[in-house]
Amino acid sequence: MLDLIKAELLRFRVWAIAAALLHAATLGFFTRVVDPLQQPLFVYQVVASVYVVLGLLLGLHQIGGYRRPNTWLHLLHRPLPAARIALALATASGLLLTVVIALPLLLMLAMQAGFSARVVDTRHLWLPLAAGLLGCIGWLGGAYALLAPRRYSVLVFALPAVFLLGDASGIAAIGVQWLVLIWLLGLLVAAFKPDLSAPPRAGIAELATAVPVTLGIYLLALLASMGYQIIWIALGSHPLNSTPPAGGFIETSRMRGDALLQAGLLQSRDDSAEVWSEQVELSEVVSLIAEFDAFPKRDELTNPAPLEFDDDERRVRWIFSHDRMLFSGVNLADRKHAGVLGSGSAETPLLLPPLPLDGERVLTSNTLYAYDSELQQLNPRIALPPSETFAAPPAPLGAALLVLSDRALYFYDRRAFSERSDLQISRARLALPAPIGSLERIDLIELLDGHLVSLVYGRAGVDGPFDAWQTLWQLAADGSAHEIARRELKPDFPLALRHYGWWLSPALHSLRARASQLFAQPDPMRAHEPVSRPVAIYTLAAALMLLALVVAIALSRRMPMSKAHQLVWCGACLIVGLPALLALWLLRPASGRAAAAGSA
Amino acid sequence: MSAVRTAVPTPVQAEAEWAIETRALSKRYGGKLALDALDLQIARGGIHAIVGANGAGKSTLFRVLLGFLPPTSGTAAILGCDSQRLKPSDRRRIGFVNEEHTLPGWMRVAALIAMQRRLYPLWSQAALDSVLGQFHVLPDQHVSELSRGERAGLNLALALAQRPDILVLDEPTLGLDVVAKRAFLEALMYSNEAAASTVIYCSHQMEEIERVADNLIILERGQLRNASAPDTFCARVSHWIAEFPFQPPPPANVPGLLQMQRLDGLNHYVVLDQSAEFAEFLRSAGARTVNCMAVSLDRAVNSFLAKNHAAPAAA
Amino acid sequence: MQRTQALMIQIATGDSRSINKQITDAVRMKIATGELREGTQLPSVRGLAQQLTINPNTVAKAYAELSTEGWLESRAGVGLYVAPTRQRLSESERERRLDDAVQRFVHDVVALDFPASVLQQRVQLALRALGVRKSA
Repeated sequence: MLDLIKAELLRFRVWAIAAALLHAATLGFFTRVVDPLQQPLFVYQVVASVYVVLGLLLGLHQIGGYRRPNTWLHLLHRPLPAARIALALATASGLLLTVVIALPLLLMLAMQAGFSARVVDTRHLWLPLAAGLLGCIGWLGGAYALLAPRRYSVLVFALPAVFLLGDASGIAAIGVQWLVLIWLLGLLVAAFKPDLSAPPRAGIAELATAVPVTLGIYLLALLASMGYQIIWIALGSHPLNSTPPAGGFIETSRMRGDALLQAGLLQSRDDSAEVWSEQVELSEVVSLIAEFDAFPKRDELTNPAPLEFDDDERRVRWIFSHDRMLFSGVNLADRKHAGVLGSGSAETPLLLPPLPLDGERVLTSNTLYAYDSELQQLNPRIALPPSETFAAPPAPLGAALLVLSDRALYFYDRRAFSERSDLQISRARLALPAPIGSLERIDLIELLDGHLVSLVYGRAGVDGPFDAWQTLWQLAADGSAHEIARRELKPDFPLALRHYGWWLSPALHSLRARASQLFAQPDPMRAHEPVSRPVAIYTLAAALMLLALVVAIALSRRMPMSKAHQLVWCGACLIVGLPALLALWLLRPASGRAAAAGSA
Repeated sequence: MSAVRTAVPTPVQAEAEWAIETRALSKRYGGKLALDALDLQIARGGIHAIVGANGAGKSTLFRVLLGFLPPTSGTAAILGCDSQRLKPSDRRRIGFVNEEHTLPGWMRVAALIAMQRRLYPLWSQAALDSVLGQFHVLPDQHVSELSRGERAGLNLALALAQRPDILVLDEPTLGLDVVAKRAFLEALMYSNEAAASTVIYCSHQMEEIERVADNLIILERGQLRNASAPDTFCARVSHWIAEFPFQPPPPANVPGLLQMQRLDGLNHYVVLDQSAEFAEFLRSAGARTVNCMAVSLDRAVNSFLAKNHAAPAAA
Repeated sequence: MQRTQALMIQIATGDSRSINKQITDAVRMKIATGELREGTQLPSVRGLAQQLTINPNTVAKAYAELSTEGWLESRAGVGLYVAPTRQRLSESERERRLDDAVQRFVHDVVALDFPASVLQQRVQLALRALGVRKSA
């Protein structure tokens, strides 16, 4: 086995060294121009994709060469278990990808840490590992796609697609990557046998193969619905592209603020409705939406946005370090260290990693700091309760400063905020009647004695399953609040389309949601109103599951499987639905056809 | 001292283990039947030649026997082990050489030999050296630098050095020049390792088969047509030349007809399993003169396989 | 004492006679014409096979056939030798073989339409050419 590893390493050594040098040179070039560790998330996603594709190309080339019947025979006809041959190839390629991907990254980090004033945290040291793992995952995906029967091998990419695009961060994300890698490695070893067309033999191998195949079918089916929508758009009657239905969510989400308030007031039975209606005509309307969808998490590998901001007067760039939980300064003139920045005069480390808003404000998930350039310190100005998160930057409305969190809308005194520099207390608090994830927009006006607030819920309810409604609240001067109107919004899309992802396979819908949350902390900004599914949808789902069971029974009877095996598959088809049925057909059609041919 | 091999035992003999045994083996590709209910038994020892036209199913048979293709129906066993369930210890006893002589091109010869040596516990370096010595192969060369003949020699040397119980060669001399071909055949026939194992030799070239085979196996369209010594087979085929002043007998009436030609006014018949009584048949059908010849192995096999092809119109 | 004498025969593939037959015919001819004398050691099976580039089993079979017919004798552990003349075929066997050969000859030449006298003359000439060698 070692011989095989060495042989493969020797085979690609020139390529590997050349690629590593090219990679290092590219990194070096970019490091001169920008700070590679302070890039928005999008950049990291693109770079990660490049690494995955790199591994994929190596896998396709290497295994593609072995895949030809004569070379496959030469590779596998030897007194070595096929699993060991597979592991040898995978190990060799893993080492090659480490050299090409991980080593240059490590070098770059070392150079940054040693020779520049830029911030390099412990969390960044995991980046080379993550990049190497992604390359290996690409390799394994490509190798498996070539070796497993073509009917279903490409679907294996559902595995990284579902898990790697999840919410886990930091070391937990690396854990998810390892999980995907080991799973793919197991699949590859199971597929690595002299007769490539045979389905996986062991029960565990078949299960491990069936899950990604089923998920892949499900994802393709979801994509198909997008195709349906594209056709719809082409026909010109798609609700988003033409006149939206009246009284619906889309129409409401596009309304001007004052029209929206008026529409809400129409539903109100309150005596003051007419008065308020006149006031809406005269007043300034402010619209808020939940803007922030991600704050930096402690020790995550990347950043949602660059964690740095510049002090133009003093020509200092402040970069946040997760290790110290302080901003580290870099003098823009001579690129040398220029002190630290923390909370208050004592430069206390921050409790949570912050997101710089602009050159003057810095936000953690529950505290807003103002940057004092003279004193070179951060002053906390607004502090939410520790369990709440900012949902939008502060917005002015008349005399008030509005701060939207995931639980409530806070009203601060605008003058006090701008004139003073200490921690502010809110004057009023309107608790949000529904989770922030469902909030589409808030529109409000200042009344003579308080505020009139319209909240529209139903985000992701456009073509999704959520209910949509508009609710109107009055916030009195004494801080009490009561609902004065509620307007239900009609769904713009057909019922079946809105619940498509669920009725297709409730089990997979749930699995996919859980997979993206694997090892991750729940995100408060994603909290949604629970979905209410009408009985018709439940009936449809149940009918499809029963249909899948019936067809599965008929299909599995014609296959050379033991009774227990048939039972497991039929049970799976019942629980998972049509995607499992298709997976059964894909994984074992040869047997079915052979039986048919034999009996013909 | 002469290394006389044991004569090829006839299949009737009961052996502990056939070298190759298939029962009703069929392999279907879409609509085409590459192997058609093949019942083949090859005994241990000797050189067995498998002959057949392209598409007769020879390569498919080997892939099924080595476990790289699943049969559509029937079973295949090599050295007594089920082809679909060959373990690494079984593969140690089976050597395979194919016409492409697929070897990793980027490796050096010495490294390749070292890798193979570590894989096979029964490795005989002496065998490798004696075979490889007949080809000009230097240990430092990359495999991709070798000519086709040198690669074939290296491949054979590696296969023999592992001292297999059965050695399967699928058209190994295809594309080799005269010198390399001769060196290859000599290495195959005169090494002790080849003598100790069962050799399955698959080829188109009758000239080679005639020199090399103890047992001649003819496959046609996935079916077994003959399994006997080459001489025995050849003796069954005879070439008759007859002159018919009037109408010759229609081909359908000619017993054991393999091939019929009309050249320069004379009728040539190549027939199977016919004795001197065939002369009587021809005479009674109106032949004025009748002559008989033996045929070469090449011609015999050719005619045998051509039987199912249409006879050309009378010249 | 007796070294192995080279066996100078050729075989041709693609001939209507099998390789086995070509070897046995050639050896018989050489013994009959005196080229291979009594007591000469023949090449080993493997040696002759290698010389002709054929399967050693074929040589073994040819040697076995010649031994059975009495042309060759095997000396234990040492090899095969040309047998003394007297150990060859029985009378009836010789007669039978002569009849066969004559029949074959007659069949072959009858279509050539030569007169019998020419045929007989030719046969005598051929035998005389052999006969000169045989007595030497």
